[in-house]
Amino acid sequence: CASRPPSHEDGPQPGQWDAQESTLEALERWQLVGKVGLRLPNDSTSANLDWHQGAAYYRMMLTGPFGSGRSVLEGRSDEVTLTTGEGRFEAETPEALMQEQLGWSLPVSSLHYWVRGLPAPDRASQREMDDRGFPAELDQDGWTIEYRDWTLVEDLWLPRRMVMTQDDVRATLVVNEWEPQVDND
Amino acid sequence: NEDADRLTDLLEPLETYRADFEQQILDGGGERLQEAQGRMWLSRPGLFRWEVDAPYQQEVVSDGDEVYLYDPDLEQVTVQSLDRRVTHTPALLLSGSTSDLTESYDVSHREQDGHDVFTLTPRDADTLFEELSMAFDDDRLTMLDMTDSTGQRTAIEFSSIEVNADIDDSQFEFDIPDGADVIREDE
Repeated sequence: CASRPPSHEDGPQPGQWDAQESTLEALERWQLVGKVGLRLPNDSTSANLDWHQGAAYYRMMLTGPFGSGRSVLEGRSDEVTLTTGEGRFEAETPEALMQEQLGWSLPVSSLHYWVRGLPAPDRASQREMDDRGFPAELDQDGWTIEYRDWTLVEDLWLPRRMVMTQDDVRATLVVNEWEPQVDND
Repeated sequence: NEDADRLTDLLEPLETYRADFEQQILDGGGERLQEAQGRMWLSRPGLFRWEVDAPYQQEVVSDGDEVYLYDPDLEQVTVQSLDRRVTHTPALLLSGSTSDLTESYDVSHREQDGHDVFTLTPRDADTLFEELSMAFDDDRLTMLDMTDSTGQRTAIEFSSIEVNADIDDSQFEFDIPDGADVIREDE
């Protein structure tokens, strides 16, 4: 029943996830524009997110309105740097760097997979599918990720709204613009 | 100084200002990192509305007392007092009194391909930007440009500009949508 191509109006259909999962697993490069909302026990913040993902490099920029309060996280295979108004900082992992400099962190390395509806490899995870066979909830590394909404981009259903919670941290990611670079070689 | 007076002469007659904007964020090397478009309304003193239409939606409204940042995607409203917000919101500077502006910034003027460009450098260090420039085209503000300490730039270009047209006060009121998460940043 996945013969009909995906279409926006009818939303994700049974079978379409299985048909596209391998493409998503192979997806290595994308651009994404969205919002991150963060609820911490004693603080909350929100920021615009511009995520440029290459095969061996990523840049995730968080900005307030008017580009104020800019933080740019850049990752290469061996080095992760964070540039904020206060300067440029380096660390082994993005999580350590964010925690040090911003006082909060998101599991960026796992988000690389979660944002495609996939669990990060070689670690235990549990995934529940909804009645159309699309990921509804993913549990991994103590985080619970709920996939609330999907958007169709070039025949690929990609998450549009994700709510990630761990203990008393709650992060909402909303994607306003997805640009996957699918290599159909 | 003379340049500051000149800027004051340009800003003083400005009671209301309405324009479409195109905002770009560029890294130190000039590579474009982010782009957003929308509309801005301003009524001095202190009234301001900034609506981003694309690629996402966002609203910033100052009613002269508090500034509301509303994010419909996140269903979140952040409320902050106007004076705390001003140094983070260069466009909001325009809604302040001109004397505040010329008191808290060193002002220098230059001509650049037909534009009057004023460069403002903050006197106290804690503002988020190191340099702000305002470009005027025959007495009409057309561009705001801010550079921060790491060399990254936010450039805002205005078009379809209307100066001193009357703007209804309701444009600067913000009623918090029910169900929205309200975050007060002053407590």
